[in-house]
Amino acid sequence: MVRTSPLANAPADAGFWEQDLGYLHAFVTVMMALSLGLAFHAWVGYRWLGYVPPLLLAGLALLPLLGMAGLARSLPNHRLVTWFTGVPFAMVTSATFGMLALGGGVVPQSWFTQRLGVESIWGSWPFLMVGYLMMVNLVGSCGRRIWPLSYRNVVYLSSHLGLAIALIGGVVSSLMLERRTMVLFRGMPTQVATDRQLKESAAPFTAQLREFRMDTFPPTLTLATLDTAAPEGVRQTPGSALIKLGTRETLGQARIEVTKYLPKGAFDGLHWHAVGWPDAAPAAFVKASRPDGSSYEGWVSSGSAQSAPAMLRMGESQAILMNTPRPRKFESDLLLDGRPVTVGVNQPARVKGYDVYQFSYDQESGAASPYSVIEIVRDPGLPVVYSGIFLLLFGSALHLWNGFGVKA
Amino acid sequence: MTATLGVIAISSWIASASVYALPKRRAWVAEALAMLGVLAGVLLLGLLWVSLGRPPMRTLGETRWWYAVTVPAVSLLIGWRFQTAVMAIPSLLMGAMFALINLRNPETMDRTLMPALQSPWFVPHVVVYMVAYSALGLSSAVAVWQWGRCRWRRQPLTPADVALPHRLVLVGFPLLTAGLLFGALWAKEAWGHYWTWDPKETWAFLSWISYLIYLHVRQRHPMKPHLNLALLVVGFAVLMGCWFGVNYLPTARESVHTYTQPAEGPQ
Repeated sequence: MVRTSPLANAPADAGFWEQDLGYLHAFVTVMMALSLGLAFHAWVGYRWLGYVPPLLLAGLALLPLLGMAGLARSLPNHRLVTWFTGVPFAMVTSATFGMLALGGGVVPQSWFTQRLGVESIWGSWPFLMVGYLMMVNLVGSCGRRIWPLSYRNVVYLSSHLGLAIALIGGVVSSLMLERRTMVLFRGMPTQVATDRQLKESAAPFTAQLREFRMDTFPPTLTLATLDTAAPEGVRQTPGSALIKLGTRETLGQARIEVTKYLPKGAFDGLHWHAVGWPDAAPAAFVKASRPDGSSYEGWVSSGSAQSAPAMLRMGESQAILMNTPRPRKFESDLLLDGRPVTVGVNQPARVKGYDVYQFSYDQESGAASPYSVIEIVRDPGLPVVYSGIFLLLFGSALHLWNGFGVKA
Repeated sequence: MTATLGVIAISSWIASASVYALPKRRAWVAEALAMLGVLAGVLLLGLLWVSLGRPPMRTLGETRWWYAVTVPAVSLLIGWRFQTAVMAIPSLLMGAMFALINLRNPETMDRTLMPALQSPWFVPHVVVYMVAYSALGLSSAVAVWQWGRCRWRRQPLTPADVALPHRLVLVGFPLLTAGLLFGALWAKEAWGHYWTWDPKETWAFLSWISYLIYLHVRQRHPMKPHLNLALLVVGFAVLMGCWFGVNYLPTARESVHTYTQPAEGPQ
């Protein structure tokens, strides 16, 4: 039986909310939500959020969503339900959400912090309000299509429900996420972890740095030319060749050849020597010639925390410099509760429900960094987010299949 | 060598577009020329990969090469699938234009790859995005091309004129979604956070939601071709903002995705 609302196709003199509901009504609703968000921003602020248990907050927020899904299932043709879960409402909320996101994508977050007192636009009440309306629409529309499981509904649900689950998981994550950093000095076990507000607390495990390793790419050379028209008076022509013995390159009009290369060298005041110190600087003996027939040779080095850089002067206005080598890989050998693990970028470890990431190191010292900073993350919402993401990926594959016209 | 291959690709695509423009064209000649350009482009990318010792997907110039190659490739693929040559000329000209920009602005090819990019996610993330960008860019180009043709012939723009651009969005949008999600999964692996509203992520979300809005509007209003066309153009503009426009915005300095800049620490 098809159920229709007695107010559908209302007469022209009907009140605003009694008319056929569409884009304009959605726009007014979203504007009301935005205004409410601004009022909350000015009146309630954000501090109270810290006093409410995150699960209670998530539960309270979830109830209306599930309620809307249930309503959409039981009263799919009610005018309010149809409108709340329909395309016009989705378009207006998405467009407004997008416009707010655009603000965050263009204006630096520091502006929002300084002018509006929020950490970012993403945590502001107006953004959350509009996002919530979008979720009501999304979950409600899934309620409408949850049954029967026809191919069309499966395609619809896998993308829409996947998105809804991922977003709900994301919100749960942001409420329950635990993210702290630990500064580890070699050979010194610690449990001290620091959160983003620099508040210290005990980590649920002991961490100790056994070794910090850093591997760098070979450095490159740059030709620096004095030029009053250039920024800071120097024009730089960077080379692309990673230095090795015999590297030949043309920088500007200068032809350059590397005849000696020390990946780790030290200068004793007279000569460069190969050494094995982790914080030693690379050095290269370079021969350079210019089209006017002049030629130069000498050592260049990028320098390090322990040694000064060296450059090859070519007349009054040019010099060959060595760029600081870029990191190729850095990782830390750790003992986590006595268990040896290695963490690096793209290579996290897991202990006691926490993911452990290589976060930072002493960039001045580079490979000789006396400490390593790790980040420990506990994210109970992650399985929900991943479920949503994989469902959405499945939905995308089905949509792609349809896009190629394999299944209309 | 890369410059030579670039010139071969550009010449082939322009020659192919010229054959397509002939009143009595030989389709197989045009397709063969377009294919030759794509092969030259693929070879160019392969050579770049070997010479750099890493996937050539890091800098703006490198991704531009991918775009220059994937736009005509996607056009050929969709053209064969749906037996149409409507998008041939815009796609070939787009490919030639992007290749020409690269030849005119040769980059210093930096061989280094920072640790964050050394991940199994790197290649699928970029390739999926590039194919998505190509399909979506092509949809806007074809839509504008159709609109211009209708204006030229003093005919009204009909829903049928934007049917092919819509088909391209149906192909490009799922790939855009996959690229976005691959990025999130990769970010979790590298930094521990799958989404941080970093400026680049924000713009990726904006381009995604732009096409999401287009798809829903199209589904609701299929008989409004001008509205659909306008949304396609807006979507493409936002896409370009995500690809390179974001680098010029005040928020760029807050981004961890600025891989074209010199490394200053762990990335």
